[in-house]
Amino acid sequence: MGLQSACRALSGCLLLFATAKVEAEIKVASFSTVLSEIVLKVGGTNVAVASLIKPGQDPHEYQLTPGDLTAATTSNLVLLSGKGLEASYLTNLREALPQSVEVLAVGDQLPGLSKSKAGTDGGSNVTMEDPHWWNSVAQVEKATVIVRDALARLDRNHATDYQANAQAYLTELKELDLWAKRQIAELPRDQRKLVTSHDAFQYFAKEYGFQIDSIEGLTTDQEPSVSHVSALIAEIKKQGVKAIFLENSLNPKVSIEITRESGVKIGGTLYADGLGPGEGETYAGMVRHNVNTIVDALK
Amino acid sequence: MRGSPPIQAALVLVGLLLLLIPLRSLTSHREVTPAVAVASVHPKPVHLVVRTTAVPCRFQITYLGKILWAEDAASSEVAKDFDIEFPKEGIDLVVDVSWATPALAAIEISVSLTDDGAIHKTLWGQGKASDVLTFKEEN
Repeated sequence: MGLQSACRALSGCLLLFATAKVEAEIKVASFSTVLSEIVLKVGGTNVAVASLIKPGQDPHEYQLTPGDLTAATTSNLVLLSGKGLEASYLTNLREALPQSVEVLAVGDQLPGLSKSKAGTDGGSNVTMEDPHWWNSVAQVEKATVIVRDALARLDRNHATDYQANAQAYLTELKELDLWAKRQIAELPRDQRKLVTSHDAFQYFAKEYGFQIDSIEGLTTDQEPSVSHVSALIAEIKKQGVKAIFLENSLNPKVSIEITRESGVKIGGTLYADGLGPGEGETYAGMVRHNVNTIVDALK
Repeated sequence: MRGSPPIQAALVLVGLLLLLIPLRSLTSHREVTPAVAVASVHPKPVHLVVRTTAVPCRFQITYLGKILWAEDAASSEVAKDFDIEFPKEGIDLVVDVSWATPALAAIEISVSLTDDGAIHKTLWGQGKASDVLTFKEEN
């Protein structure tokens, strides 16, 4: 009887230990709202994710805080958007991180699109890579595979879980991409003219056959020049653009002025820089909102 | 202002010339894409051919949100003519196909605007397949 009690007590202790053991195997610090979703979908309960850029926050304006740096230094994996988006704080971040932390700039492993813009001296042009790769579902599929492989490398014991989770998410993404293509197919290809607040939709445009123009450049930190705005208004009139689109994290002042001058309507507000409050709280919601807004306005 | 009138005038002139430099740099910076003339697109005669590796095959082709052609094909090749708007940017056809067999099969859509040549696109699937296929004239 005494032995039975001891066995019961021992098995109870083992059960308690097993329950306590159910905690994340990998700590991830993510500097991208879209990558936060990807790593949560792929990692499941095996990862604990600190999302350092919050939905609706402009990643171009993000400043590294001491609290965020602590979260990054105590993680196993740091996820960056890459393609220059973190340029203003990347050097400091890399210097502060211990060697044990793996830094993965996911966008740097994806095919890129570049655009030249005038240098700060107003003279020679500099070529910048567009960092907004998440506006193409196909790029997000590739990013999912990159994140899956990183998790499997760091935590081999759960590699099959990551494989299965990634496969399920990839299936969702393929369905989302086909849905987007079907919606956009209702727009004649010669009417796919997209004018946005800043130049965040090159990957979207390439994927779905749009011509694009923007009020601001690839980043949101510079006001557009008067000459650029004037030329854009002339172009909008010439091309017969039906609508221009605002962005959830940017001031619409200049866009509204352009609609007054050109006579075109505001087509709606798009999620350009990642996830945001409302419909854009998930990646699928963000894409569906953007596609519906664009198609409804340009039909 | 001190100095003789000719010197004052020269200083004013130099000041005005210096102002022109930033104005020039502002007005010369243009990022807008080259202008594309807006032209109305008229319908063109288009010849569509559908080939399938397995029959029977049920397919539906949708253009601009409307069903263009839906058919239960009993033969491996069927063709039809349409008058549709075909801008130089091309057209997107939404293709949904299902086969009686669950084995891997393919459907090929060929679009011809002239007698010279056709644009071909192929879609593969097991039992069914759906995709949006873009057809664009070669320049």
